[in-house]
Amino acid sequence: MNIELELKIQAWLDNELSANEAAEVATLVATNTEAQALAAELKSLKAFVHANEPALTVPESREFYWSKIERAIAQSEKVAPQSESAGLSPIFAWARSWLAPVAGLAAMVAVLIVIPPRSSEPEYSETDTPSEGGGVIHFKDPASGMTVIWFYDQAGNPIQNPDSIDNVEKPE
Amino acid sequence: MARRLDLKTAEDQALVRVAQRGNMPAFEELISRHRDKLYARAFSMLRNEEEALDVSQEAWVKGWQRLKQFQGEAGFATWMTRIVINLCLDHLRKKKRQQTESLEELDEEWGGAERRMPFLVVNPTEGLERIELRKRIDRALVQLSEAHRQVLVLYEFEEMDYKQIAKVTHCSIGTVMSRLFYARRRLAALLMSLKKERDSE
Repeated sequence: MNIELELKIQAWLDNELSANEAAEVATLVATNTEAQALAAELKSLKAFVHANEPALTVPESREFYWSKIERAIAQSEKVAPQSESAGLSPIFAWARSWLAPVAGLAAMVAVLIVIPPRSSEPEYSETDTPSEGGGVIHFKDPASGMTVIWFYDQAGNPIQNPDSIDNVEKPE
Repeated sequence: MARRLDLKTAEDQALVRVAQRGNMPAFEELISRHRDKLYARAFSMLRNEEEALDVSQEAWVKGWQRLKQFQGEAGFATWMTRIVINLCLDHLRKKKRQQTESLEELDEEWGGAERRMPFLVVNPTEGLERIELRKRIDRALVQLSEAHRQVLVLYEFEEMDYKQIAKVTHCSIGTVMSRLFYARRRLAALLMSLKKERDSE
């Protein structure tokens, strides 16, 4: 007998075959002594193993066994508070799993719409007003509320006291 | 006024309903009723007292956490044993990653010595008391390879069919069939040798 047939006989005893296959195997077992012997062995083994799972008792007292479980439950509840989705109804948990990313995305879109993107151009202004004896650079940054004015002479050097020169145009 | 439930005499279903509302004493009563069965099933799979204790306790913690999902389609004990079986399988898979399967196991899976054994004509359990029979099966189970024992326990004790076993053990139905076959043949041989030992005493 080959292994395929042996496995088929086992499957027949385990009620795992279709009606047609089962009929074929039944015929084989009825006519072949080797198949009959295997079927008899497997059948008796199945019967006494199935009904005789080794009976064991927990080698700890009820109180001690329970105390460990109780402690583990308390610890797990500390880690995962009731508000987590494990304690919610499956529909709500499902909805929450979808709503959270959608809400996040919507918030991002809203921020992009309400706050226009910053221009890559600088917002401050800087004007240079040259004149014969030098010039004035006028720097203004509205964001920080800062205004700076430089006076420079003909050579481009900064002038500490602009009142000392007359030919430089002074801002109002 | 609501009638108080007598935990000792209440049926499992009633205890489950109360425990689902967060009543710990009801859950403890369920544990005391079924803890031996769960532990025995874990031990059959793992063959190690300490590991069986740890896994069975972990199963009870998981059972408490998932109790609200229990709808009562199967009995509470059946539901719990499925949790313990899954934990045992996870445990064995983790262990297996740390070990390599022995050559002996591979030989068994692909048709080693068991295939060539003559079929038994004498019932090796004849004339045995139930307690003795259980002990003998237990001794024989120890000697099976882990893969063979796993499939045998799932089929014979957990009453899963080939398809369910294939699913939980992540193997093909063909592998389940061959493992079960060699497990049974080896078990028959082991029981026979135990009978011979007893007869010669």
